[in-house]
Amino acid sequence: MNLGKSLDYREALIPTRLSKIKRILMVASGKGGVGKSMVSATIALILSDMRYRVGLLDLDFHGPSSSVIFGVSSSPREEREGLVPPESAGVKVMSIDLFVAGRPVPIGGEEKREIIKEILALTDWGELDYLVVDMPPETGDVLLASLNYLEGDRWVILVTIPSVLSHKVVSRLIEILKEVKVPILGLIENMADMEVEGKRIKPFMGGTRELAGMHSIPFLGSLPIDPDAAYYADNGEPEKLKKTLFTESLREILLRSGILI
Amino acid sequence: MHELVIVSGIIDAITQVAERENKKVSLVRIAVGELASFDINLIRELVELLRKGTCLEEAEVIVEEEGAVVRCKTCGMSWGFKELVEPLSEDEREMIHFLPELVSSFSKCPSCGSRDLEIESGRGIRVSQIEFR
Ligand SMILES: Nc1ncnc2c1ncn2[C@@H]1O[C@H](COP(=O)(O)OP(=O)(O)OP(=O)(O)O)[C@@H](O)[C@H]1O
Ligand SMILES: [Mg+2]
Ligand SMILES: [Zn+2]
Repeated sequence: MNLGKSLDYREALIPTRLSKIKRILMVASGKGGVGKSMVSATIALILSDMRYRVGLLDLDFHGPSSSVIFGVSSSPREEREGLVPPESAGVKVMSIDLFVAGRPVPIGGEEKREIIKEILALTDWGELDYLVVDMPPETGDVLLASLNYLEGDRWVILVTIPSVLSHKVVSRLIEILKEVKVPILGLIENMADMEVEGKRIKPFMGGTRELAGMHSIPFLGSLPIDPDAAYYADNGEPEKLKKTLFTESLREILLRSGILI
Repeated sequence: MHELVIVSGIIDAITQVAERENKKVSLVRIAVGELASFDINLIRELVELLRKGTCLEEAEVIVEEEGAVVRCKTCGMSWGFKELVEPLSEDEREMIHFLPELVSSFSKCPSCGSRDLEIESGRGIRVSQIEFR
């Protein structure tokens, strides 16, 4: 008889894993380099600071990010119940980089989907209040497959910078998300402004609030360009990252957003 | 020991299909891919242990190894476990044990050096045949 995917152990395991997670926050941007990983990691930090049980799943194959920001390098522990992610600053961190330690992952879409499925099936998060997911940067099949597997009480948080190109890509992503009917929590504008000689200046054109309005999705707020936050993120100092202007701004956004359980 | 999770996942998946088809399972063939270096005897023991009280209790269950074939998409040559996985360190093999697709991160084509490798068979564990009665 035709076995198809119905006899795939991962299809049986994934729903059981996700049933122990109260809420999934998927951070996506479509375009790379706009701060998706930084926003994902910082959301996980803020939630953990509020005493929630938090996991961070990095599905970005383009080099290390979550593992660097959290300063974790140990590979996941193999236990009876699956792979146990290493923990840092109270957050359980699972990332492809923990398996390859900085090596390139020269694989195509089909292989990426297999890896994502396997990680979702094997990772033993235990009980979580939140799983924050740094989504694949593509707007194609790898992203769609991830959305397909990540079922439950789930919300997409979109990140863009106030530039024409980033707006274009995030618009395309919003259309795709609407087509597959995944709920969008709203749009965050990263790198909105910066401090120069005591004054706040806006290096980009802006217009992100209007963009959200055009797509009828909530505008969640803006995050500043914060060199301290970037420094602590790049050097794996999550406790210091917590005390930056970037994190403070993101905390306010989360408190206002209505996403807290 | 994530073998335990995988075997229980396989039994769950088969149970779901048997319930949906509303039929009894008579035979299941489980292919254990060579690439992921599973201990096939451990898989057999786990299957024996976990099938008790499930729809597989009375079925014939065959657990067999499936040889690894990995094709280089650049030059077209095909390779096996011996060329691609055996030369690696224990840690590297452990990563391929979890995620077989990572063979492209740790190995390259012995002939042309390309990392554009495609797993044709022997990836991980899968149900290769199921019969109902
Ligand atoms: N608000 C900010 N202020 C200062 N630096 C920032 C800010 N947001 C992001 N960065 C920096 O910009 C770079 C890119 O950010 P990040 O890696 O989070 O982006 P990404 O969208 O995940 O990109 P990628 O496509 O590489 O995954 C990083 O070095 C990060 O530290
Ligand atoms: Mg990233
Ligand atoms: Zn080759």
